[in-house]
Amino acid sequence: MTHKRIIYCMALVGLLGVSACNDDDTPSIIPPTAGAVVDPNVGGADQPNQVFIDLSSNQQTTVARNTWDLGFYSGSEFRVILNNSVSALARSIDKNDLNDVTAADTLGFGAQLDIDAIFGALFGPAPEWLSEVAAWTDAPSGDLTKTAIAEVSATAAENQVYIINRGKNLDGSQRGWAKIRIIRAASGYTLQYADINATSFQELAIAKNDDFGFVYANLDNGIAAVAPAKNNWDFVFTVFTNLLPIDATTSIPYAYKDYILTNAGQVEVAIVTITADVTYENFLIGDVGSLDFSSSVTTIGSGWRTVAQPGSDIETGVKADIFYVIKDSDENYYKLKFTRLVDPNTGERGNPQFLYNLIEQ
Amino acid sequence: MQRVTFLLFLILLTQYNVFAQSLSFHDKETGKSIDGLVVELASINAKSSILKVTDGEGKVNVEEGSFPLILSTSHLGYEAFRDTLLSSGDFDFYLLPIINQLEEVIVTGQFTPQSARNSVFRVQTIDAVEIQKRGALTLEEALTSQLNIRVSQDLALGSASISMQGISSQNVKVLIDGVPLVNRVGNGNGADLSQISLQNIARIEIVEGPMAVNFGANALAGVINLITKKDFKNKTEVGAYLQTESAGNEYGLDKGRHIQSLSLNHRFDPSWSVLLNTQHNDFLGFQGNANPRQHEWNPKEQWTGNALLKYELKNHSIHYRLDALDQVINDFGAAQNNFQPDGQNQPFAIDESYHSKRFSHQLQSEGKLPFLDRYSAFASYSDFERQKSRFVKNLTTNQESATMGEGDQDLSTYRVWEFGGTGFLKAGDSNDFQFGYQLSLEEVGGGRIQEGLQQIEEYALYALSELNVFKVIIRPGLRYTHNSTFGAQLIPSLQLKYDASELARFRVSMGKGFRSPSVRELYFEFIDSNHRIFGNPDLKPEKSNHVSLNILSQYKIASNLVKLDLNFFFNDIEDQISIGQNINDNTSTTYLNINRFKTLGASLNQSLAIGSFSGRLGFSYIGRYNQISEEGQDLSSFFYSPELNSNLSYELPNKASSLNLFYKYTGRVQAYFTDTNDQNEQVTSIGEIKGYHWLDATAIHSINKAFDLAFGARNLLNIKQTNNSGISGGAHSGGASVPVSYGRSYFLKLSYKLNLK
Repeated sequence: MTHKRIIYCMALVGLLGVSACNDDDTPSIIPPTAGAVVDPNVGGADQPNQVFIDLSSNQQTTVARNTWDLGFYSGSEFRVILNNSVSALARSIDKNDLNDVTAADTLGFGAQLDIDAIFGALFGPAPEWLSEVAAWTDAPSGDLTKTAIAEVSATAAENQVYIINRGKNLDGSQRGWAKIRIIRAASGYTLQYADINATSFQELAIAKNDDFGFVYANLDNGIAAVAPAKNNWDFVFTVFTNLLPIDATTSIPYAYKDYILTNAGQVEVAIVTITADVTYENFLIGDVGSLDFSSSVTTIGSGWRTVAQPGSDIETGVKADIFYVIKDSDENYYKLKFTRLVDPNTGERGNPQFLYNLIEQ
Repeated sequence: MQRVTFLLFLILLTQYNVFAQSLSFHDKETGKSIDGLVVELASINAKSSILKVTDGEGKVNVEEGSFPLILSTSHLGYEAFRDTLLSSGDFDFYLLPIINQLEEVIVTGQFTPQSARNSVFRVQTIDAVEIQKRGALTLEEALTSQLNIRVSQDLALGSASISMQGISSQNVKVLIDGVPLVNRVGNGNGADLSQISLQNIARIEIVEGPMAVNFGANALAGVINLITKKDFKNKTEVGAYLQTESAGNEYGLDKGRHIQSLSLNHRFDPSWSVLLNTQHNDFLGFQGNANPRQHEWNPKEQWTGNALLKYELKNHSIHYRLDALDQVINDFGAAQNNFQPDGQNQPFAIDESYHSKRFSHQLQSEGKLPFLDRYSAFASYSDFERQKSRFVKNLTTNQESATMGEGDQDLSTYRVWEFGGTGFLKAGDSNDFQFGYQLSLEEVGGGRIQEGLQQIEEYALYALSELNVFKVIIRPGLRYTHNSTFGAQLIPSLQLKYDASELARFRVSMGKGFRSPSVRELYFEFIDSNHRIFGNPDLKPEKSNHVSLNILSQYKIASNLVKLDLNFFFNDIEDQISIGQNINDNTSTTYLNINRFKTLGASLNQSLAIGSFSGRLGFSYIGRYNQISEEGQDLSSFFYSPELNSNLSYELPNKASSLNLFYKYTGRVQAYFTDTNDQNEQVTSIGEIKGYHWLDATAIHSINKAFDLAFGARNLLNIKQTNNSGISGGAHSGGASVPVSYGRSYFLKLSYKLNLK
């Protein structure tokens, strides 16, 4: 585990500009946490926070959802993601000079590139653009070849301008609009951005960082600290803008609360159904072999909870008949059971709790 | 009616132009001879008369030479009959039985009370005897096997609503003595039938088709009018009963359903009388397969009561009536874990309760005025409120605290002041007129209503006439309504009745109906992360056109008369209100007049009585419109659904007991929905809610003058839910089954009555 701590320290250096990282001189192995009950600080009804959970260190990292706009992939491809947790949407303009784009190019966008407007368009005759809306958001599967912003091309002129609806603040107010363009730079990316009617733009250099899945940027504040280093988290509690199929040709963005995404490429998850023979308590390492692990980031998703529906007796709470087995990047196996969804005093959602245990080898 | 009968007699008499010794009397409907009929035979100058009683063959003998004479009859079960016999001969007389006429006197929409078959439009009734035979306590239970009516259950709210002729409950208006019964969502419409007690209800009158001219808005599908008991035979009457019922297979002191009822009425003098009623209906819930603490059907405790004070004068009858409801529904949540920092688990649960209260005050007066043959007038004030409470209960410490979510604690109120009156004028033999007025002020409040409280005012004037042209009664009507939200409405109607003969009576009804936008549709306000829904104050009313044809006939099976009622109907609703995108703010949705809906169908009812047996058999077939078919694809415009019902009753020879069966088949309902096929493509499929059979059986026994006993089984076929295959994916898809009942249940009822002359 030492190398993990080193990485974490390096991450701190990178993120916070800490000048030194004093590792223990004596190499010691910190054993993974055997188990704990965790109350992630999602923040209640409005769910203001994204909460990254690391099971092995029993750490949670809390970040306000609206602290970032774009995530820049640190891997070999040049890919950029939108802040899905605030329902940001993006649409390309067939121009490659930010200063050439004015309000005239975005005519009608206010009534289309907006999650509420899209929902509203479901009622009444379907407008033609409704079938395109799924392309204005990143694929919910996390597939980086299906992002709203096309791969950043090595040929600068091929990189188009995008209009971004920056989504909603925690109180539901609009975060506003921006025009952006991204080109490759030696160490990563250069982000060009401006208000829609501006005749000049700002630039921000974003260097790839191998220790992190993504490097995040905020159009108001520059580089932002969001997810911990890629080896230091297993899953995140977040508001998640999913795609909801409406008919044969249309899926619309729709925000799910209390959603869980697992760390892409790092973590695998299996769902275990509780039966008379299989219980959380008696589940041992020998039972792991029979499980079907998935690397999909949405395996937990919204499947761990239920929400009361009009006309049915389903209650808002956790699903009591399942638990999860999580395999982290260090090949530790954890069993994990969600214990609640709502606050035990106010009944508000966004107050989850879970229990987990290392499955001893 | 009587005139027609008379004509028939004249025809009979002129055919038998023979001198006779023997007179035979028969039941006009069954043809059977009448035993024990008193026949008075008087000489033409009325100087002498003799009384005779018919024998077992329905005959009396008349001595030769006593003609001409005047014949008159009297019998409790038959209408009195008079005729003059000029010469002797064997005569056969057919008398009209009274019982049928007494049973079916109706008032809904009528100028004066009259028999259902004389009504210009079709009125169905469920009388107190049938209510008792069913063991029905609420309107929901009384309508369980009614044709063209479907009851649907909302398990979360614990309510039961109905559709009529395939049209939803927002368009069915429930009235008490003609005054709309206010409930949580409407002034008469959208009623929760399980909240309507049948204690002190003399009969239920059902009219399908819009009765907009008489009753105004929100009766597109029809009207259900509960007629209360206001006439008492004895000076003092005391009634009480205890009923105990299982909830499915669950029964006990803290399970099942237990009802206690008490009623008292007293006449102080010929003018003043008073009535007091109360009933406690305690349903303790049905747990079924739910988790501990939870119920598949939530417990519901209901107190209802009413009071009547009546003052009668020679030409007027005035009464004040109070109806009260107090109902609590508890929805207990499942235990959820909550681990403390010290590792201890303190489970908690989220419970909800719905506490409804209704007080309706009615002051009604009816009678004659010097310038009117009949008038009726009412003033009413209704106050409905429902408090929703949601709280967290710590199951270790039993501490409770209110939850904080928006709408978690909510008081919805619905108050209505309503005034109305009608006058009836007879202008000659063949022209009757009725005119009336109605004023109402609705005040609706609640958490998701803009500014918390909204008001709607409505004023209406209407006039109807019944013109007798040869054998055809023509009833045109017109209503002018002014509403504070949508302005003026002019509603015409035309009804015709033509009695070709006993074998063929025709009724045609054409009318327009309308549904006022509800306060929710006008002033709703709801915002969350995915929804921004606002009411639309510019909504127009939903408008409908209704046409129906009703044919009454009769035929005989082995000299037993079978009555037949064949009915065809068509409803076309325009400007139906549905959610749509707000044109002025496309990030929000609102209510708009955008949908169209139609229903059409036919129903056939037959009824028969053979000795101690009586039975009814009905069939209906209703088509519901698919608006999606307008999109030009290969989709059916209508999906049809059948219904079948039957009531059988057998009276035991001791005349004190009866056995009764009530059956209904509710056919499947189909609808188009969007589905994903094997290739993961979205396709339009047909989904359906499966049909089901419902059977109730009861045995009623009168122990003596004071005590009656009833034993019954509801839902003998043990239907709990019916499958719904029309479910598509999405964030808010409900369950794959539709709840019907908690299963086969048994009830036992002991009632007591005391009558003091």
